Amino acid sequence: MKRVVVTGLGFITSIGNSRDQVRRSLQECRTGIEPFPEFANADVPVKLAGTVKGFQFPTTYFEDWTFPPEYKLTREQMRPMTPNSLYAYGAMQQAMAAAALTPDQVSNPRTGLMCASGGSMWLAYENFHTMLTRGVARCQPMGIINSIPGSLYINLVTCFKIKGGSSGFSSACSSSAHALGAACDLIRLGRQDVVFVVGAEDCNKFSILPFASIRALSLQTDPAKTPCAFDIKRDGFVGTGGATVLVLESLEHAEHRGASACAEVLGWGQSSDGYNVLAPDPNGDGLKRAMEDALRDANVPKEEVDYINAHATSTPAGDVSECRAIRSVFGNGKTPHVSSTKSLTGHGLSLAGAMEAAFCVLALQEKFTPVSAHITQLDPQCAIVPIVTEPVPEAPRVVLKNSSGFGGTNVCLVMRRWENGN
Amino acid sequence: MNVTLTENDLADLKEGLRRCSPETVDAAVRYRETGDPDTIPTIVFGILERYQPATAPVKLSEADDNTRLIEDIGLDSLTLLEIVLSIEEILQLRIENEELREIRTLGLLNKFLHAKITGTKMEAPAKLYTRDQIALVLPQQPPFMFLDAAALDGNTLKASYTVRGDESFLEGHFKDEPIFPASIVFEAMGQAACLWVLEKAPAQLGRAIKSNHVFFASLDGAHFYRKTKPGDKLEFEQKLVKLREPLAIFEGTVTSQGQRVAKIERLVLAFGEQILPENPAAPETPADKALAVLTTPIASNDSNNGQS
Repeated sequence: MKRVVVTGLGFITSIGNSRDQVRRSLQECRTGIEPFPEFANADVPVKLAGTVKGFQFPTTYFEDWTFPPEYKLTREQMRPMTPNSLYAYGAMQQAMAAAALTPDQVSNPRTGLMCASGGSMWLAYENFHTMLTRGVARCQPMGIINSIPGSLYINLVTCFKIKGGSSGFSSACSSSAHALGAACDLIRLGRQDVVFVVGAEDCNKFSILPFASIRALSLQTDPAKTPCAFDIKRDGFVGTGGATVLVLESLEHAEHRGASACAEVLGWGQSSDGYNVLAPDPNGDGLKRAMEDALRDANVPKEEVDYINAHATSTPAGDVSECRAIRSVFGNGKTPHVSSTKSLTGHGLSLAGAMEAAFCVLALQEKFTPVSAHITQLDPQCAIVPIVTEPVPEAPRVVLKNSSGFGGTNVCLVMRRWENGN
Repeated sequence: MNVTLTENDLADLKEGLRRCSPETVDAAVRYRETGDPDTIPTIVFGILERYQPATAPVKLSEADDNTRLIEDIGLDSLTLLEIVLSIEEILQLRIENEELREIRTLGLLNKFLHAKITGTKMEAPAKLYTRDQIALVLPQQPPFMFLDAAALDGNTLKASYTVRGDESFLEGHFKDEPIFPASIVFEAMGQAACLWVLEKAPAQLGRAIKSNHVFFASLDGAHFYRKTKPGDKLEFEQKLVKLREPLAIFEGTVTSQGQRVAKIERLVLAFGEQILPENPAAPETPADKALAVLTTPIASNDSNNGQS
């Protein structure tokens, strides 16, 4: 099997719209969360979001949308876009530049695209509203394209003239981790040389507030206090959107074109809880099996793992279940550092897996262990694993990235620091 | 008709004309209040202006009636659809797909809308065919298809073919001196006539004609005046003289750079199932059948639909 490396990253996230900003936010523990104007009304109990800076979507008309001037799109490119596709367009540009891919290498039958998004529920709602109030004949010509979750890959394939395999993944909050796993396999099997892995999500009341009724969202109003994964006072997640792109590439292809690797993807595992629509298995049995599956696939002894970027969204049930899963994988032996970067970014839903996998690449390459922010008092049920509440001097060499989604779907990715000759 | 728009109507109209100029909105209000068809060009201009891509080869301010919507104003099919939806909403009418197909220029669009609103009938414009479109109709196919473009307008047709130089028969006609054969010039005229029969005759006769049911029957008064060589553009102008099942009779001329090349006084095509050789009731060949029909005199003022 071919070895898989990451050769480029792109970020449009609540904690930064470039690799550098994101790295600094992670190292300096800067939050991307702030009061969200869309939630200002008194009847909205949730007040915070991991806002995406530099992008505004005041109306459904793409002509009214504003975004950083370095991203130049034509009318034809903008017309079918959703907010999540536009974020992803920016992240793609960064990732292509970082990986130093030529236009021919991007638009090539050996280059694929694996995407994950929940779609734009905002535009879907507005499109249906138009259909019902102004008549079927008045449906937006692009209404179906910018309503469905597939709009992400549809837009990107067209904008970047992708010629290899392209697909969308829809497994709730583990979607983009599944996309990364699938991309890894495509390269290992020699079916593609390069695969863009894209996670992207809208950031608006339609993508976030539906979680309020199941009490999954934090009602805290102070962005300095929430989300606080693993803390005794955690009261739910804070929503976010944006996009992250990872360029996965076979080692031989990267070496052949003289590209430098940021990290190696060693393997991945997946499982399902087979337990409940919303709640995770309290013992974390499903996630445990995914982690064991991943370690087996990566052929890495568990003792070598020194950091886990947890799924931990800051919900009472989820965080405990994950800590139990980690504990049971590592038994009484050495247990790696654990942190949740969602405490800084908010929960990116379909975006989360890819975004946090890219954070892991930064941690491996820049040699730091991300801290789990906003913890004042650890929940004793979570303290069964070493949570990183303060900066630690150790730099990780092998990391796990956990992702879980509704229906108890679990993914674990294994990555290793890239050092010449390893 | 004179109505005053309610606040809601006005708000809807403005929403429908978002990003259009104030003149467009004024014209639309006037149209809704008075039904004045003279407001149409302003409304159409305003809507096109809102959708025209920045990279359009021809700016709208420089456009005239002959400006083409797709090639000049730079509209792709989806933008055209957005514009149609917008026009439909503002003028409160419906444009059918078949109607859309014929609207190629700004002038035709305005004329079409004017006719639609005033209830007058618009003359159908000439229908243009590219080489690819011709190939979808004719039974003759490349390399034996000698038409690059055609326009069918009523009972007349214009077509053209540029001699490429790589036609295989030019190797021997003549060796080291390629000259486009006269017989192929006449064949091209037959193909152009065949296009007319397949595209226009069904509507006049009220029945379909299969593309492999059209045959060359006879040629009278064929004259050839001038040699043509690779690079020369042959231009055909032909006219239907008579259409009576199973025959279509044409006359026509061929020119190149304004100089006459050839003329046919009477080109006869036979068509329809009854002339198929395998039809036991049919004479032996299409030509026999044609001759049989031709020997019975046809008065030149017979109605096109006359049944024998």
